[in-house]
Amino acid sequence: MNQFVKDTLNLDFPFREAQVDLLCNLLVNNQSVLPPCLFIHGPPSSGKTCLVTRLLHLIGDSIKSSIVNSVSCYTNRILFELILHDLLEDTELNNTRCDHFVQFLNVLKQARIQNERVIIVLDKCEMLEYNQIHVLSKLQELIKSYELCVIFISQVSPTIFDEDIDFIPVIFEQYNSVEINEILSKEKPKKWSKEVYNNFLTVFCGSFIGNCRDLVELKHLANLLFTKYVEPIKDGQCTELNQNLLFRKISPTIQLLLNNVYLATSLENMESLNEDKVKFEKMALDLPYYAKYFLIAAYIASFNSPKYDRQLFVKVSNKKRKIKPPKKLEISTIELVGPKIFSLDRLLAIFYAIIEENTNMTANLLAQINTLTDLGLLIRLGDGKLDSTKYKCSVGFECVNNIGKTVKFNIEKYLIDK
Amino acid sequence: MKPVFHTCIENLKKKLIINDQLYRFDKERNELLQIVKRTTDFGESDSVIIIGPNKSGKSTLVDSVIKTLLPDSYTVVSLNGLIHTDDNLALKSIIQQLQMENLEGALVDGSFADNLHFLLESFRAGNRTASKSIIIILDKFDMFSSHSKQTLLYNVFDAVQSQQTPLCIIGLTSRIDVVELLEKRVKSRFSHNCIMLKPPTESNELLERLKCLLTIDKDCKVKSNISKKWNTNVELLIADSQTQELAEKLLKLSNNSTKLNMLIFMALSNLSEGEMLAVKDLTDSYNALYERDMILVHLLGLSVLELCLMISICHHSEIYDQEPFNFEMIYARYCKFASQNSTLLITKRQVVIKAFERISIMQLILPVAVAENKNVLREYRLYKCSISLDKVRTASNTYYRLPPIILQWIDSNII
Repeated sequence: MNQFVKDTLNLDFPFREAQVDLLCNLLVNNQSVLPPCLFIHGPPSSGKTCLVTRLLHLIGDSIKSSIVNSVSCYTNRILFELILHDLLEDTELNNTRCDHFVQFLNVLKQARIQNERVIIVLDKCEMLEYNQIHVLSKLQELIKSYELCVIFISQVSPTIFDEDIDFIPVIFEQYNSVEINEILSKEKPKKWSKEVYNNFLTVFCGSFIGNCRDLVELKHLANLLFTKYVEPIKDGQCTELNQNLLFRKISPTIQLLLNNVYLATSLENMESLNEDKVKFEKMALDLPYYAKYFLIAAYIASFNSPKYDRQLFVKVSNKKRKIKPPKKLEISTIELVGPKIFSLDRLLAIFYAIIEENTNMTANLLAQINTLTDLGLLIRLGDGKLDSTKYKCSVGFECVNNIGKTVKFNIEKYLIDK
Repeated sequence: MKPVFHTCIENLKKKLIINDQLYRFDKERNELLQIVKRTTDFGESDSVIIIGPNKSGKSTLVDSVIKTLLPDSYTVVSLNGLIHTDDNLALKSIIQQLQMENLEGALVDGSFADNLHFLLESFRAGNRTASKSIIIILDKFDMFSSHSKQTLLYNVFDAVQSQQTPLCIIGLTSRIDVVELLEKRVKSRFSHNCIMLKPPTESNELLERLKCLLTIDKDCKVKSNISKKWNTNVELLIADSQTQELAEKLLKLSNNSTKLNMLIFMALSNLSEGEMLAVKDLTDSYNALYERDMILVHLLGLSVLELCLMISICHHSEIYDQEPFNFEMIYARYCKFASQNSTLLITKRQVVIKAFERISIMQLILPVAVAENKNVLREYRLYKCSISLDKVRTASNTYYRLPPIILQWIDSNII
């Protein structure tokens, strides 16, 4: 039994021998007691949940199990109900309400699982409260059923636990680049020969592994890139083994994808990523004329200290006085600390200072500010009354600069730090 | 055909998990026995608190004492501060465990006041000689003292003082200042009996326990020649100098006895068929359980970009003396390095921000504010980092194919 499970798992999960060994030794062994608590941890997409689920499926005949994703358990009751639903028969459930651990433990004690082997898996356990983890780790002791095991799975290292929680750690290491190459080569599309795919993988891994070692993301990217990679071969422009030419053809796409790792790229939107023009228009946002000025004013208000306002905006005989920027600090701190809060008065003052024409202060104009906050471009702080409201600009320099260009306004002149 | 030692191993594992054997503490056991006996035999109510570090054997001590009592002379009510998080839950649980739900006046759905009234009335109805004595065990006693106004504690301690149904209250806690946590009115009703349990400090004691745990008892259903063979092997094992070293190392790490149990459990589980326990199995398990540096494993699992961010973070913490940082600061630092050194490392901001988020998901860096403030943009949210530059340096030395330029960067003049 033990050997069979191990072999099956090793076949499905390459480079996980040590972990498979340990888990099988601890869990797969009929009529033996189970350890009270295991803690499985490792980086994202290293196969933790997948392997445990598969293992429990394989030994499902001899064991009752419940796999719960803790993210969805935002109250005790949901957590308990999910677990009880998996473990107990319908007749035993009889709609008891479990809001506290007391009731949960009572139900477990009375249920018929006392003499059965039970495994409870809590995925993403860092989402649980500390108290919950604490009690669950002692579950075996508390309900006095020695064939019960609680498995925590987490991306966070168990240093969050204190001395009182005893567990056997199972560590899933990240795959290294050779292993990733090997695993990806199993995903070879049937139509293509091994040689082509391996050549492709060398190129692929060489360029992507530095930025991303997440296997799921890499698989996705490899899929995307391979369809692009073989296009020249399909067209007949290039032979299968002319690696140099193939690489030259693919490198712009690699560059493109490298800039979009983790950003949910798909074959359809890959084209649009390329076009800078689209991006520019997206950034510039189709705001009304005055709203654009308001946003620019807000940016200036957020990133300039009020003490320079006088120097910047007071016009002497209609000529803008040139100011000398103050000495640059070691790091331009304001850029790094983030936008400062400003009042509505200051925003309006700057707005009137930078806008060339005379505009009347009307309700429509003020409504533009509210529109901007609703769009999430400004952040409103305070209770929403006009005289006490403070604002903060929430867009970056690049965006404001683009907006400035559309109204022929050079924002850099007005920023002290730039 | 089962391998030879299969049954032995299973038996030992069971013993480890059930863990009901008491070591040492004979004096303390007698002391506790005296107190409990006074309640069960003569109807004198009393209270006692047992103080000892986690897993030092407090519950085992209480269990072993209770086991020796006459079965009909007492009822046990055990509560745990972890589970009974407020007085109402605790009260209901007491009523349930005393099996009083069916009595007239008991309402499990009733209010707290009703239940308390009912319980106290019931206590008062009993008398010293005729009533069965009740032993109330309060595990994690310190947590009960955080309940509002300590109502439950006050009432049970008060019941101990008055002459009624014999009560013995046993509190178990790991906090040494537990008496100070009690309110004045509760404290004055407590008998100030404290029993201290001291964990083992000598490696000999640990070895003794190791031997006890590994030896196969006579009543175990194994052929005598097999158990004899096993036991001789265990004796050899204990005599080995490496095992003694291991015990000393374990003792330095923690005096928590469950750590030893876990160690043996894992060693036994990993034994291949037909083999007897060897020193190597113990040391292997020790290394796997307690020697692995979890943070290092995490760091080695990062991509080069993420590792670079970690280096930037550590540099920042060194320079600014552990001041919190935000994404912008780290990004600026990273860009400075990348643009000076290698064009390959220059990465778009959107990718870097994702990498930064992944680091924070793994909790290598933690946000300073506990609750997320919607008014702070995520680039400017403040984080702090608990990992030192040395750790990152160790990680990058063993990192698989790290570009040498990054290695130089770590040690370069950081300002």
